[in-house]
Amino acid sequence: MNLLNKVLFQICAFSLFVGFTLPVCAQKLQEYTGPYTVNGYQGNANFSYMLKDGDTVFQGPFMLKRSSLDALLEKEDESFTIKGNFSAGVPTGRWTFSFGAFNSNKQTEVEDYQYRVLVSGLQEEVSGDFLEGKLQGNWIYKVSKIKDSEIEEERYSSSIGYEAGLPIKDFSIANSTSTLVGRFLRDGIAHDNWELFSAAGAGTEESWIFENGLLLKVIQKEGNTSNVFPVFENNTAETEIIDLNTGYLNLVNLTQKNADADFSKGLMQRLLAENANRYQKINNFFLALNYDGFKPKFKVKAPYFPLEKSDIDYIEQAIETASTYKPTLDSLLSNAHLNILKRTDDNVYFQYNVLSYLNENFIEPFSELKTLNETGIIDNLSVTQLYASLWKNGAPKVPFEVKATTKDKTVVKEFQPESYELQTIALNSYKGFSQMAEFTAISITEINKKLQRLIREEKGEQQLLAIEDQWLKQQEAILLVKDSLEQYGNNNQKRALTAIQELLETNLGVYANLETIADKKTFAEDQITCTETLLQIANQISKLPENVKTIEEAYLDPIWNPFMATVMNEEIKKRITSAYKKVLVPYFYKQSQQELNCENAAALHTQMTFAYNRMLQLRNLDTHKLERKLKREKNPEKVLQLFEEVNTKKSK
Amino acid sequence: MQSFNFKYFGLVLVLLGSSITVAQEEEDKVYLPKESKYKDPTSKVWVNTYGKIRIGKRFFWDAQTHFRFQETEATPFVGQVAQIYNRHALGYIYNKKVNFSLGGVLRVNFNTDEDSIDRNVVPEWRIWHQYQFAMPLYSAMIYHRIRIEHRWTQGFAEDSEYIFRNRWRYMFRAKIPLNSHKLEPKTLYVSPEAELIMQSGKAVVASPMEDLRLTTTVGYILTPRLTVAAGLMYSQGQALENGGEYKQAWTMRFHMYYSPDFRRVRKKLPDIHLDD
Repeated sequence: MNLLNKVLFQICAFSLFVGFTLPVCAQKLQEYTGPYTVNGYQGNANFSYMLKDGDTVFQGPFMLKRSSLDALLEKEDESFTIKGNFSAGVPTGRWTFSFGAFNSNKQTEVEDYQYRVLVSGLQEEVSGDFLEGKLQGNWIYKVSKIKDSEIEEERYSSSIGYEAGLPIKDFSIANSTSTLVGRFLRDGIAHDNWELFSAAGAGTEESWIFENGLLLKVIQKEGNTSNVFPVFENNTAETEIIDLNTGYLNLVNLTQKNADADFSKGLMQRLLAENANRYQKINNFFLALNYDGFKPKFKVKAPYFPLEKSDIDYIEQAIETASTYKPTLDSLLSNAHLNILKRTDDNVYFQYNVLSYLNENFIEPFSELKTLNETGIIDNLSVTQLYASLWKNGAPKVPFEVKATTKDKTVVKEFQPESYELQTIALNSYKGFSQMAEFTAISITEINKKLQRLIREEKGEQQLLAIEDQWLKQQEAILLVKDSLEQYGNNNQKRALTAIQELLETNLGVYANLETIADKKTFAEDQITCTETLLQIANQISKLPENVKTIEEAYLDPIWNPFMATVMNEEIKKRITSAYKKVLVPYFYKQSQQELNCENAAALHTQMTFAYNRMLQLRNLDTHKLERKLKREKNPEKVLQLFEEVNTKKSK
Repeated sequence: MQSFNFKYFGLVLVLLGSSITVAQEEEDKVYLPKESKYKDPTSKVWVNTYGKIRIGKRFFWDAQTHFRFQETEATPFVGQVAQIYNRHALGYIYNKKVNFSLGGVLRVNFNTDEDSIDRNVVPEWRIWHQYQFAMPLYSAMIYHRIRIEHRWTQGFAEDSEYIFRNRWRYMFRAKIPLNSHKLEPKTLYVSPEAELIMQSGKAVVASPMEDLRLTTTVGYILTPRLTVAAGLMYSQGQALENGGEYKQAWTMRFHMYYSPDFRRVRKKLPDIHLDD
């Protein structure tokens, strides 16, 4: 309890004694000792407070800590100690935070009548002063790696000087590889060169050159070359002071969209972002204690393009359109029935392409606009820059053309909603957002109406739709296998999956041309069986190289070599493994690439399964006869038959 | 007592003084030179086959046949056949790293001295036993081999009698894989080896060090059952007739190692077939 409180308490006590109460004494100072949780930090607390209008107002020393020896010895302990002072609800004086995540080697030693346990882990230490609720003096933030209770490595450290809550003079932020050194003007505004040095002593890696808060340019060193990224060097617009936060870093990145080198690789912005995140951790703690003032408040200047009220409305209209129409658009694009119809029906195909176009060129950029708005940097970009950042290849035209017929993919048709009065979009203006939003909303509504009618008409057979849904899911699963093989597979596998996909396409074509729902239902049901088998074959094809490897390993026999006195693997029953690898595997590939159809798919699936499982069995069976018969046998059917003939009972 | 000394402390005797030697071998009149004399090195070629044929869970038959050629005046370098060497033994596998052998040797010595009027061929007999220990070291293997031989030899002269000697041999050998992380099929390996052969016996007076062999071999493991190797050996050792004289030789060595196992496959399963 500090002196002030003590005096206050004595005055109150005296006033009660003499029979009257002072108004100030209603806010009686109370002490609390016991379990307490702040922002997820659960520990034992010790603090004093007053109740003011039902709110807790902290007053005097505050301490919250936890450490558990049991947890440490058991596995790991997350300990923390937070100490400081409040004065009427705002932090004041010295505050120290220490967070540790430790484990121990479970060995103890006794020294000076105390048990000592050596710990290893990460230690985070933060300390600094407040003056009347504002950061004052040097704040140090350190993260150290601890090994056997000694600091092994400093992972992160920042030292920032404050005056009345604003960063001033020099600061430094370092992680294990680099150190950032920079300085601020008296009002907390970034100034001069901010330099990033390599810890390895290779000199300056990156410089951010500020002039009175405005970032002129960034120089990044890559080996022996220096990449210069002009940022706001040629800015002629007026400027405003904003916080250096992730939004600002995003803004800087946006100015480098067309740079020759990759700006985003820069280490400086990562270090700044890390610093912001670490300060946020402490800020969250204070926020939970009803104090909002622990932020680094690095200030920078950025170009400022003031928005009229109407401009803000236009932007909000676009953002709202994206949120309103995205669900409709997504559900249409992923509708199983439409996905089938679009293969044969030119009208559906056209509408579907229009929807894709609207999604890509309007809805998605509008969602991006929403992100920019949330980070608060929309008014730091000129409207031209804003357009360029949303549409890399220029803003979309209205009306636009998309592919119109399934047969000939070169034919395009113009799209224009019927109930839309065509107007020229005012590009590179905020009004353009509103016009595009209107166009998008009308277009999606109109197409949705048409397609829903189509979906409803066909919906007469709910059951058919369910079957179609299942069928499409199978096909998607096969395409997933195909995609992964495109990346990792061999040519044989790729060819096989292409053949399977072609078979699927052919069958879809046949299906789409069927007239009656009854016909469709019968066909689709057959297809589900067939496609399931094809999916299994696709999976087997994708696993084939792995299976060959498994078999090769299974047919290794460890042999003790008397000359080396070591154990070596010997390939055994080579005739059998070679029949599998040189006759059966190529046959499986060939069948899946050339001969596959819905009639023989099941047989191929069975053969592949049998061959693999049988190979694993034959390893331990008496196969003398089989090996003799396999000599020069090149016919896969015959090989499979011989495999089958081996007497399983003779095993062991 | 005297003979015991001769048998085991020949070297000590040389150091103590030659008077006893002279007294024993007076009629031969062999005098040790003041300084050791190294003879010119001869060149030899050895072609060796080594078989270790698995005949049981813990037993193998060790079968080695060596053809040893030695240069002569008429046929320099490769020379003519000097010895044909048949070594057989029954081997016992104690564990993967330790094995023992006991058996006999019949060596057929050919007279390479073209001027000699003595016999052309004489046999030599040995009983031998061997103790081999292997140790893995990183990717390489190290081997210690102790081999003890009881040997009956005779000269080419018509009336020469068998003399009995014991040989005490220790060999250190490493096999270091070059293109692989361990000794396995399709591995090229290099094998440095050093073997010291000491001898004792009544006939051994001043020359206990029969041979010191320093060899480097390069081998290739074709399959778990077949390995080939070739190397070059330098050797030196005291001449039996006079301990002050040292023979030297350069030998090219070609080896084939084979280890068949005729037991039926299913009897051998599983693992290394030691515990089946």
